Amino acid sequence: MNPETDFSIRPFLGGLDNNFTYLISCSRTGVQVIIDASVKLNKIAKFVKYYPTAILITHSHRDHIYHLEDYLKAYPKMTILGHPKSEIFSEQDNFQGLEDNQSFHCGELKFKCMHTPGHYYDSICYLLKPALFTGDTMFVGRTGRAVSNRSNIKDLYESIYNKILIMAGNTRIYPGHDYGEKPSVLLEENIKASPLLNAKDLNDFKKRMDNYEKNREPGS
Amino acid sequence: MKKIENQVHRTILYTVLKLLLVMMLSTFLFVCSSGTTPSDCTDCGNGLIDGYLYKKVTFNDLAGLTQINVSANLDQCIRFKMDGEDFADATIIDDCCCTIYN
Repeated sequence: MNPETDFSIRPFLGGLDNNFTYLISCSRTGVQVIIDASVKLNKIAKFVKYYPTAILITHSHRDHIYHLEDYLKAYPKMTILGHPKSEIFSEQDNFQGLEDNQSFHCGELKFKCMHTPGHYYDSICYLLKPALFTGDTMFVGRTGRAVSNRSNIKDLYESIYNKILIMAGNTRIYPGHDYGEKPSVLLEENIKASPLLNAKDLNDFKKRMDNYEKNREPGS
Repeated sequence: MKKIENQVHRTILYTVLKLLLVMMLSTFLFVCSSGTTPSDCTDCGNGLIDGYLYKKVTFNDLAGLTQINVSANLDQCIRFKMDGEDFADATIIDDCCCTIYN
């Protein structure tokens, strides 16, 4: 079989804060995987054709794993994939930690795990070319924030500038929240639109982030 | 008289032994038949992560399975891979696997 294959991405909007859960279906093999357990299971269950192979967690903030228990009750054999240092999964039998730059297959779908700390210590982006599932590391129109416990703005800068912005411009960003003008965006469009993606260096990024935080409207 | 008493004792002993044997066999058969509960259902392959799926065979599957030389009956449990609309691979497995992966 050719490892490159067509797939569909179905976003589900809901959860605690306009979150997205994504259901990815491989057109050839029927294999399905879920990204984040943000949205109620009954919203996505009718689109699950077979038993989902895995759930990919972008980070362990509450809103991204809020419905995980329900998902695991429905699909207890599904593998949970996430950051190896996520304490919250340490006692889950079916959890597999993914190393930085680790590639893995779900059926014929080839994913790459990229550790992108900053918004949170266990943040991960999942690349399924040309789609990049960014969780809260990058949204449409801006980067994630670095204001919570275990956030780190220097890590965020390095994740964004050294890992994501060097990717092909036609990479399509699928974020963890619907905060922007549209649900997903090409990386090149996002760079044009966002001052936070045009910093000269770390200090400049910090200044731009301060400016963003001062002028930020709740929910944006 | 004593001979008759001995014969009666032997008959009783044989009957008790037969009953014991029947009880032991019944217990053995009961334990074996209840051994395929989902928790003991371990022969389902390597699970999902390698791209295999599980389902019970439907009428619409029969022709596709025949094409890959798998002769399955309706409602049998299969572990399979798809390639577009066609089966790429399929194996008939224990029904308990479809209970787990359904």
